[in-house]
Amino acid sequence: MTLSDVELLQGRARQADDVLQMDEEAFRSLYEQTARGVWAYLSRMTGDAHLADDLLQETYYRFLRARASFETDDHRRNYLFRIATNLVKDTRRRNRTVHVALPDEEGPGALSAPGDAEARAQVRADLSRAMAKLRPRERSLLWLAYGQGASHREIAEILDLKTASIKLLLFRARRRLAKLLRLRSGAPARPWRNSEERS
Amino acid sequence: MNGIECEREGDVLEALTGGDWPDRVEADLRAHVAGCAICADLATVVRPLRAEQACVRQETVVPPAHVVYWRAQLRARAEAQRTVNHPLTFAHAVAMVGLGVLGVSLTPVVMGWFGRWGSETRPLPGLWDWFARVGDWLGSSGATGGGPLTLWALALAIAACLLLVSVAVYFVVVDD
Repeated sequence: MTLSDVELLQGRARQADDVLQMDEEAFRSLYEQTARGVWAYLSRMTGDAHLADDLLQETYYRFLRARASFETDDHRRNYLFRIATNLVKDTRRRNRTVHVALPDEEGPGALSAPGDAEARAQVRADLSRAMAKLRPRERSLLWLAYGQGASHREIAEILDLKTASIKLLLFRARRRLAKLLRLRSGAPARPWRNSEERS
Repeated sequence: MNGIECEREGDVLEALTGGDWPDRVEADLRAHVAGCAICADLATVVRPLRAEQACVRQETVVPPAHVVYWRAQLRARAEAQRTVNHPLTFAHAVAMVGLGVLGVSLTPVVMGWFGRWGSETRPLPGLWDWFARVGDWLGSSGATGGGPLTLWALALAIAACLLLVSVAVYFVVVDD
């Protein structure tokens, strides 16, 4: 290998910006549209705000290095969520601590606020505790479907599942979460019992 | 309504996500939800999830876009640098191993030369005799048996092989 070969290769290393799939301006636009949603997803899937920060950076890094082409912004967003999902799975596999953060851990006085705020904080705490009892895939399904408002096709794409199976999986996850939430709030477990029995 | 879906599920979801639930929806939809297991589950689950999503989005402070992009650039550069250095490091390692093999191969020859030279000039008699004995012993041992020409040929062949391997490895991995 000659010196000029080495210089050529090092020159390529300096031009690593070309390896990123979009320029800074385009990235800024995408990031501003998606970052909060991705962070919310990561934080609720891992239960750890600091870990969510790290995974957010990693998600966008992998996205920028991906050699995929995207037709629309929706495809880009789904791809980001797919990367995020895989990162959460990897983190879980490596046995890193995954605990579900409660709203009262997120800011001082969250539960001591008066009136509506107190009730809201209680609802959030109940939701966090109930979500913590679900399987990781159920958490992802519910968050994507009802938090993010993703369609069944998008959820299937993000979670690498068949679109046809989403309806059933979502139904089961929803039923489990509803049951847990009713137990927490002290509501009757099956208020529709009579009508269900009728149907 | 079948086992897992209800025909009014879409209406309920629309009311829940649109913020109309429960005050601005028709009474018959509320009555339906009260009596339908699927729609009741939907209402129980969707409202807190939507509220949570809204709260998290409001509270979240994500790093600025330029910081995330800058970190990605730095990391991409570091990785590209590592990729560039990988074949160089490998070639260096192969060259060092080659040098070691060459050194070991030539040791008996060099020891013999030293011994013969010393026995003629005799500056330190014991030392040169020792060199000569070691050289003879190594030269006559099975691994490097043969005369000096054979040893030279062996050493050159090994060095040439290692050089070719390192060049081949470089061309294989350079595209990475």
